[in-house]
Amino acid sequence: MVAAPRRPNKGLLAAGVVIATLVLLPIGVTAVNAAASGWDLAVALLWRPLTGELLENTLLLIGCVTVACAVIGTGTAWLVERTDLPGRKLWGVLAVVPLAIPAFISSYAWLSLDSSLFANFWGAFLVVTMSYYPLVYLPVAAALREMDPALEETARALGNGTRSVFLRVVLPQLRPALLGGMLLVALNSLVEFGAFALLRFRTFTTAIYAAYRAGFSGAEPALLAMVLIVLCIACLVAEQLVRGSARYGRLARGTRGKAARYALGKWALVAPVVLAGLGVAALVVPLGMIGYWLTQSGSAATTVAASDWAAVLRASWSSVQLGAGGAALTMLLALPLGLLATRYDGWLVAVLERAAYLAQGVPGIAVALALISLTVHDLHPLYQSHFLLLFAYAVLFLPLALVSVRSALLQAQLRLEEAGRSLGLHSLAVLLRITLPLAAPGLGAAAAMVFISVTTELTATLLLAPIGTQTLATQIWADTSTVAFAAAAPFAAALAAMSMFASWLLARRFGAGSVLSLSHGAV
Amino acid sequence: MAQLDIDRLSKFIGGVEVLKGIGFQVEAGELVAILGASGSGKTTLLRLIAGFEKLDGGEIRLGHELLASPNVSKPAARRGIGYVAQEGALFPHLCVADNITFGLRRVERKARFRVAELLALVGLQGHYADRAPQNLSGGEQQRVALARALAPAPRLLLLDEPFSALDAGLRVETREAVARAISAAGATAILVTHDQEEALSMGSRVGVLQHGRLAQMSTPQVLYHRPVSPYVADFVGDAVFMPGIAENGLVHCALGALRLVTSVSGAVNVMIRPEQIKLGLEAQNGMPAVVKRVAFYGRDAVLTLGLKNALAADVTARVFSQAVPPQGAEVWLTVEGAVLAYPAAVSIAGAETAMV
Repeated sequence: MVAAPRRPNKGLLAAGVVIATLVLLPIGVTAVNAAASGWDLAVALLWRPLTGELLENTLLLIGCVTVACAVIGTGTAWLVERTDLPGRKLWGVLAVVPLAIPAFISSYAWLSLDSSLFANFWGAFLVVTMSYYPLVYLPVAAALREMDPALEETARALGNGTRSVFLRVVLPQLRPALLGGMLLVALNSLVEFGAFALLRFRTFTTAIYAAYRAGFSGAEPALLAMVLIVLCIACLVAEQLVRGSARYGRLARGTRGKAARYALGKWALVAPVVLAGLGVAALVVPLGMIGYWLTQSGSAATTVAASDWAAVLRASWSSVQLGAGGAALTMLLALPLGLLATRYDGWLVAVLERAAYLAQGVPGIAVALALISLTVHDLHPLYQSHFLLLFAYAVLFLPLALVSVRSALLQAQLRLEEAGRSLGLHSLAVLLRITLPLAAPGLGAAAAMVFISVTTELTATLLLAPIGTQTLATQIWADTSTVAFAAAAPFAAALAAMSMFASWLLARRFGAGSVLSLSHGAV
Repeated sequence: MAQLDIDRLSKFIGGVEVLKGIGFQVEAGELVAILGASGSGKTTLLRLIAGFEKLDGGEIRLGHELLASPNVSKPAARRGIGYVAQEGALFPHLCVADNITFGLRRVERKARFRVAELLALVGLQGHYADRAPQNLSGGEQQRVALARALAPAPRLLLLDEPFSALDAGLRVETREAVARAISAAGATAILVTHDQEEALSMGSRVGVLQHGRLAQMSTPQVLYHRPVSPYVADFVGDAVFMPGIAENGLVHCALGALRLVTSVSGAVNVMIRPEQIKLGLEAQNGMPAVVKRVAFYGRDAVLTLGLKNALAADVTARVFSQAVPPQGAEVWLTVEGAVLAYPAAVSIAGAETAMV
């Protein structure tokens, strides 16, 4: 069915333009600040050993993490989806849970286990790999589930053994899911700040933060941020290309059998041990260390502020308030764009939607610094205001919300609305009685995702939170930075519990895939 | 020596015996169709032969070689048996030529060995070689799947409901192209289907699977005209059943005294094909009846007829569309040719409950 192109009404279009402009504002400000340094200074600042070292550190780490995540994620997905592994349902759940634990909490845990052993490349590698391998596991497992088992059977009938079937039939079809997942891992590692800062591993994000703290003029952090943004957008574009070009439509439409499961045979004993090791590194250590420090009295740890439960409650309340406020503002900005994208055609609508997705390529630290430089002088009343922080969240998580809003609004298909109109409903009644009831669950999911993302967000919160506002995330950061592990424990426990509970609700209602969206740029 | 020898095959799935002692042979160059309702075990039978599943009893031999028994199972990859899945299962990441050569050795793959020849065999033009499977119609996909299965010259070809996903027009056309290609390749093949027309028109012999047992295997003509049970009679075509008394080669029933094909006597269940029932418009020696309903199909029409002189149930007759009487018309029925009769205890329902 080809519908005639519909022109959006002027108000909605204007709102869309304003929102897209606001979302792209941080990139613009960063670019202007970077350009203000002038060509010579820019070359001098960028063309020095420090930049080379940062680039090397960042790219080496990302390369290693991405490959490790690809191997672990694909291996786990294969074991869970395609073998007779005992307890595979449980392993499947355990493979997703790490996504609900922010990487900076994992690094807190490993650091508190041994602060010298893990404060280096290998610590950073371990923490980030264990945090992000679900980004490969989820899409690859879904692709394995969706794959037509007749393909593998046909390949076997044509004379291919298990290994050959995997290499010649399964792997080529996993390619889009696998590459997409790897690019998400790369993007998330690029913008990761908390984990690297705590583990004292220097990457672009930590260097930008250091330059800002050292009070350098806006030029140096802005230049470094610009390099980071370029890297992120490159990942983002690559991910879109992989997704667009390499998605093989399923040829078969009808019924299909269940996928064959391979007998593990002699590996039946090895596989659970490997998976258990993975579970220990990804879940038991982070959660176990929090539990351990919870039982240590304040005096056993180097405490800054003795952790009292009132402080934990206050911080939790701040996190919840910011989460709710962030979700509300983000949804408010996402709805007009979602309506435009799903109900109208035209080049302007397409441009606006693309622009909003581009914002995924902007790391939290760049958004925060751009907003600071914008408000510290010219718009001072906004500087260190709650509103500015909420706005930063909205910029960061709008792309994430937009994807869910878009698919939620698509639930109310045009022909259902037409059926409503043919039954005599006017536009408002169509909206209230057809569109919104159908879209409501999806909109709720979008808001919930933003809520979880905001409560576990560290970087922008750290830089933009009004003085005196402590959230769970910033409190963990402050205590861990001063090696007050026991003091941080209650905050870490509260945040991990909140994030895992909300993610569980989300996954139970909308499937494990929805948790994938919690990662940065996983849309 | 039969090419394929299947002996007392038995298979349990989830504690249920889905195949109960199946046995039959397929001669070299023959195409055998296995006809069965869903759940009859026909796909399981095919998967056992292909080696995708292990059997619980019996043997499968190909040529002189034992392929499978409860203790032996040659891996599917080394059986040399071609397999065409329900919807073709073309590899979506490979073009048509790469799909066709998938089962060949690397050198042959590089050289696109026999691609043009195989495409021609299945009735596709040479320029299809570089197309992506996504750009083929369902029928074309099935033809490529067949070419791919034939490429390594398999000892046996298995076709798992290969036409069920196609729409009516395409189905007949693809079926004919596939039948031509298989016979031109001289391949030995087993076709599994739930479509009786497909089985009867393609198979040199047709076997009917009923709840995991092979109810009958014979040529299409014998299967249609001499089904061994009311179930088979009803499954391979439309059938009219009515009670009767048989003696001396005749059966007396609501349609009169009819000649019997087989010699039975006593109370029987008479089976008449609807096309055997002829309509006369004047009182002859036929049985008077009234046309209750007319279902017009174009080429022919199916009439539901209520018999006047008996308490018998309605009968159906298939007549050429040129000679369709109007609803409510009075007609006289005669039966052409001999009819079949089964001992009365075995009704259709009885046969099914006896099997379960």
